[in-house]
Amino acid sequence: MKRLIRACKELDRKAQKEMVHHLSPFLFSICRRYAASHEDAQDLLQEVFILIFNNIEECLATEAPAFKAWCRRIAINCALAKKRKKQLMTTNKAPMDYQYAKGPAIYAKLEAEAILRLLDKIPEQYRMVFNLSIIDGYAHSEIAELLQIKESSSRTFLVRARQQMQKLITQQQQQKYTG
Amino acid sequence: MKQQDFENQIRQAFEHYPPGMSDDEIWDNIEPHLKKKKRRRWIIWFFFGLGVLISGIALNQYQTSNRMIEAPVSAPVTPANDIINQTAAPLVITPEPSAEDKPHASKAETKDNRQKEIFITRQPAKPSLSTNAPLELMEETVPEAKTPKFTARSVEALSALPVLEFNVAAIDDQEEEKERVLKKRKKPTTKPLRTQWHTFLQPSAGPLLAYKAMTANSDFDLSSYRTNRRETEKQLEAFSIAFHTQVQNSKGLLLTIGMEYQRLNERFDYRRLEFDQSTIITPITITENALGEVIRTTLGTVQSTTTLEHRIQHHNHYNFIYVPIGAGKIWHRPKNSWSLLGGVDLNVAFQMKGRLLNENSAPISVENSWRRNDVFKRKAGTGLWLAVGYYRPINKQLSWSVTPKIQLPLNDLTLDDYALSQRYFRLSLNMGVRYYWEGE
Repeated sequence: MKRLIRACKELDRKAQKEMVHHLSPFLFSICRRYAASHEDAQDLLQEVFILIFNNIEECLATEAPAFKAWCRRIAINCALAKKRKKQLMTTNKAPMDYQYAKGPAIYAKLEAEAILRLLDKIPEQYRMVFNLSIIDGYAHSEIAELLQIKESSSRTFLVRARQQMQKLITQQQQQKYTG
Repeated sequence: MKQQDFENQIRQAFEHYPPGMSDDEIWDNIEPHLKKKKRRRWIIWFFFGLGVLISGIALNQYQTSNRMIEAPVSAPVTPANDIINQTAAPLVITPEPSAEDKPHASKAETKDNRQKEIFITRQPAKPSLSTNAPLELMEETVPEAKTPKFTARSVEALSALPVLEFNVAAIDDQEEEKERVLKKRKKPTTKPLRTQWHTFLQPSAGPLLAYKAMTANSDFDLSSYRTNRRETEKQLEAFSIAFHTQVQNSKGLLLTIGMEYQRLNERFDYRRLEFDQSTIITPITITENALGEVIRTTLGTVQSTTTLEHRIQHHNHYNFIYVPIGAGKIWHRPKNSWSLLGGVDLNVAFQMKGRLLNENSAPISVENSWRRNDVFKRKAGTGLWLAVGYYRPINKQLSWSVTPKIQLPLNDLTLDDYALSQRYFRLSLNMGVRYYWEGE
């Protein structure tokens, strides 16, 4: 990986192609979570790769974990910038009514696709906060800065996102058993 | 705990998620947008300019040395005009280097010496007044010496002779005669001398006025956003520090290259009012007795409006480093000189640090690094410039300089996908000195 990063910094096309092969599953998982659809995620992935390769000389990381973290950050920033540009972020969606879901059923093994389908059902802003906090590990202060919201709002959105996810999973499980 | 498990499970589910398209397909789509090998254009221009400068200096050096030795060598020597050989021998008692140091004419080192060496090859070796070397040795190094043999055994003995004074006085006449002969020998068909270049160094600094032009980058009506940005960003002081190297020829042609740092400061002043209406319970009637004591208070509800003002003040800094390259002409007048120069500005570094309003009129902090690359580019691109120079001499080598300059940017500072296209048109007034650098 070290060699690959160095070669990419020297704008070596072969190394860049190899890097695409290495990073595309990792980055696509990020893009898919932030994009509205699979097609949007594919477009986003390409933009992220362009950004990464065109700015790689600024990356100080030489080891794989640090480099991946840098790529992750670029992907998230790119996704959020794209969202802002398209004004996709809406705050008007009213939060759904929820109940606390209970029981072990909701913690059944989930596939990525299934989670994505659930994530798509919750309001955009909740989804963003859920993604940033739970999956990407951002702090609330960072989320507030990235999404230009208050830190307290970030906390609230996360609580509501969790509750809605739980509710959706419960519903899904119930449908599975009844249907 | 269960919550934690659930979230871990989600994290794991997203560890690796195939993009649903092949790597080749992704690569084909991204490759045309990737940077090619760095061309380092500004370096090419910089070294081109430096090359021009060095060539100018080298040419200058070459010509000044060449001019001195060209003519005499090309002239044919006949017994009739060979006045040097006829008259030089008894007269040459100049303090030349000793025969040990300079046995042959081809080892000339300085311009003046070279001229003299021509004569030395036709002359016998001379006794040197500055050394104590025996005269016999000098006569041996130049076998075809025509001068009469000296009988003196040492320089001291020679310097004691009264005839020396007469000889020294005669040197001037001899030199004049030599020059006349050389002029005659010089062919009129020899190459004309090439133009001579002079080098000047010009450090300067001064204030800067910048006009910020902002135009919409998309089809949306962004006039309100532009107005908001204009209202919140006020220009403060700006300045420029420059160092130029100029080469100038005798016809007045001027070539210049340099380095210029510019800083624009702005104040970001954001103010937002928040109104909060609420109902509060407060005493509405108070009954007092004759002594002024409160005997009854009636509470009631009233509407209250709280106004909260949010204010952010911040200083924004725009830093630019340019390499200006240009050409022009200089006109010399009896008491001063004027120049008109124009060229291109190549930006080698640009940095913006500060705060701006975003499209939702919310303040955001901006820095054009990879971390925050959603507004400004990392290079300001190229531009054109036009400058007038006024120079007033202080002494033989130094002049005051005043240089008003206009800069027209050819590229935006902002990214293509940012809502507004921002650029600065600048007018600077740099003052400094212009130093004539003679080189070696």
